[in-house]
Amino acid sequence: MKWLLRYISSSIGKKHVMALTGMALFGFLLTHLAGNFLYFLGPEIFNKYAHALTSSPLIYPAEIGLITIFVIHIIFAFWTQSDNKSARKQAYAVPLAEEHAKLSSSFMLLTGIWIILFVIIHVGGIKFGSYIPYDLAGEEIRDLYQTVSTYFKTPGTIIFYVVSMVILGVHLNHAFWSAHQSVGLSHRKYTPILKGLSIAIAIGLASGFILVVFAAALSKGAA
Amino acid sequence: MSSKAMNLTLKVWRQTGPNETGKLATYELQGVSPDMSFLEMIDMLNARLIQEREDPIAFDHDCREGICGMCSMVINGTPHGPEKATTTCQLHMRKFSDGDTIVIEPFRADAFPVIKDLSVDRSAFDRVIQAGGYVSVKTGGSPDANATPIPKKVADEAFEAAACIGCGACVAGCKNASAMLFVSAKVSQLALLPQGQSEAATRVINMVSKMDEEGFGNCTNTEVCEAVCPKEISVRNIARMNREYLKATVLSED
Ligand code: HEM
Ligand code: FES
Repeated sequence: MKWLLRYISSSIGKKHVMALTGMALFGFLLTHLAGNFLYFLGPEIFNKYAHALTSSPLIYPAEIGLITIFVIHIIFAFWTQSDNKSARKQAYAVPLAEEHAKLSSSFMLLTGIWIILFVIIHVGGIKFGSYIPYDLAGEEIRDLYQTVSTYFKTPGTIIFYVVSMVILGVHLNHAFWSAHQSVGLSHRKYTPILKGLSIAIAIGLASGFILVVFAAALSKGAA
Repeated sequence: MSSKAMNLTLKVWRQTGPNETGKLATYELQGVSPDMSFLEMIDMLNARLIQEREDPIAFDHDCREGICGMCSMVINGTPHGPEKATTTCQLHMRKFSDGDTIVIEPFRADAFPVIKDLSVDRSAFDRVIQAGGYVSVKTGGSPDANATPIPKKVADEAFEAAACIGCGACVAGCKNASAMLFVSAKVSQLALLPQGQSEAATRVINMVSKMDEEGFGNCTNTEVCEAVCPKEISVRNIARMNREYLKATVLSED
């Protein structure tokens, strides 16, 4: 096991952990977005889906797994950042010219910290948000559709979500191709495509989530 | 482009020794020819400083033809200055204009301690190379030319990696002071070729361990290193090193 410790604490090992946990989080985002899109199909299907998800015996292991991956990603983010800060303790008198750096690579920690705050507020506001009962053929389940529809009626919430999704997009724009590079996937033919795909994914994912927010904001339902 | 002599304001990092605190000192330099190289411009300033019985500016240089990698300095926030794919010694003053202010600092990284003024100790790079160890070669009768077939593309890729002159601009320009472009070029030039295979796994592990031990930062794929590299070494090499490192770690038996 000594080799594993040496690997994980090496500069490249740390990058691999960041990349794998990041891509796992990205996978979660995809399924989350797919689930959110059920909102467009109305209360019954959305509530049924949410119920099936939260009442599954696998939900706890899945949640623990997701939180673990999230926390590992964060720990390694701060670990690499602290290495990087101490690699140049005496700063340049005149800052390095910024024009050479890929812009979104400069914001990974800031966007990441925003995502932590967002996740806390988001889970608090929806998962642990208002409980409204819903009657599913005699069985009482949670009316998450109504919770969401009510939640996105305050302008402050809507703005916060839109801004947060844009910030998530900025994180992903760099993260998606960077994760490939980190684990050694680079290719003359495919890397330029991958970089384009990163932008598309960042925009696609952010606007997908924003679309659901707008749908909820415009939904009739009680405010 | 004019051939008129220029007047410049230079802000140069002056530091008397490794443990002293340094600061930017300002010099006005008149009559700089646009045909001078950047180092000749500093020579001109130093000649004046010596005449004025001041300490000349210490800076590293050797070949002055872009192959030794000694001429390390950060010019206006960019290692080796504004011209792409050009070392400081090959940079000409015609890239600047009359009246310009030019800030000159040493390459900064904890792994590259300042010796004096603009001169830094880059022997950390030598220790990384040393950690890479030897390459087994067949001794005895000289082999036939082209006895080992290597596709042209692979040979070219290895050659491009081998063009690294080890100047340290990648470290100096990187916000993380990461040495991954340098180390990956040195790993790649051997990993790409059949002759480098015998020790490929131990080489990459030992070089990366040494790189970490010397206190260089982690790559965050900003790609600044490739942009400032005077030899335009590609970040593809970094991906190759990441791959080689993973392969070596997973497959090795210890
Ligand atoms: C939905 C959440 C998130 C996703 C999908 C995600 C995804 C990723 C991916 C794929 C990478 C690329 C790794 C690489 O370059 O090898 C990355 C990098 C990074 N992430 Fe996240 N991340 C998320 C949340 C966070 C959070 C909460 C932080 C908190 C600080 C964070 C901080 C970072 C940092 C600093 C990097 C850059 C690391 C480097 O380049 O070395 N991320 N992220
Ligand atoms: S002095 Fe040799 S490369 Fe510049």
